[in-house]
Amino acid sequence: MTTNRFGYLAAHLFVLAYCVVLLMSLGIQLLQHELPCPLCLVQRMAMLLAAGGAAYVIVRSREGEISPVDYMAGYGFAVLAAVGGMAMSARQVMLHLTDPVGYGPPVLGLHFYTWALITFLVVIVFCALSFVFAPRLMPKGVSYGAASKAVVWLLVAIAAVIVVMTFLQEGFHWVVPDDPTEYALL
Amino acid sequence: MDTLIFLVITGGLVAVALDRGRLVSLGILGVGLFAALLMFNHHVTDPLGYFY
Repeated sequence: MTTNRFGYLAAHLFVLAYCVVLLMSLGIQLLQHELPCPLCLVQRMAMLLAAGGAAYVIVRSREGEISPVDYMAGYGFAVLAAVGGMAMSARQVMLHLTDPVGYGPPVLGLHFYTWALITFLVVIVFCALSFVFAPRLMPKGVSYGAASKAVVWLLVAIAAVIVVMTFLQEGFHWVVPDDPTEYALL
Repeated sequence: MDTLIFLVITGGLVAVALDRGRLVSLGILGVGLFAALLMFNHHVTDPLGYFY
């Protein structure tokens, strides 16, 4: 029986990479008291949704292989989320094109929204390559073990933490202030 | 509203993790994506605010 483990591993790396990005943003929010702005929040949504597409590919491979329909649906959804995320982050990049300071602390010389734009671009390229090389990358002969479950549930846990943090920040208001400086419920 | 959208997205991710099928999993995530895009549209078109 032939096996395609590389594509399965790549889906895990996809989800883990966004877990790291989201954990870093949460870490900076908690440790440096840098609250996310409205546009930052919608970019977090797009990141969770894009990672959800890859998580779908992982979970639907639990029988050892995935159907082409599920493979296309998962990564297709990730592309949709990434295109939306690109629009959101590009909007924020353009807002600060002529701003020498920018919003939030820079990481490795670039601001969060610029990094977000780069991650969304990477997702689109990754999904395009996954489609082009689908016969070689569609998971086959793989096992949905404890590590796979841990990766998927880590994403769920991060999403749950973001729900709590957003509720603390937003409270019972409809939207977050443009330049948030404090938590509404703390 | 952002909290509600994150709740929907988290619900979709739970459905994915529990393997509730394509329609339910991607359906809930799709609702979350649509809501996120509506929220983005609100931030872009609101004439009153300067958005960071």
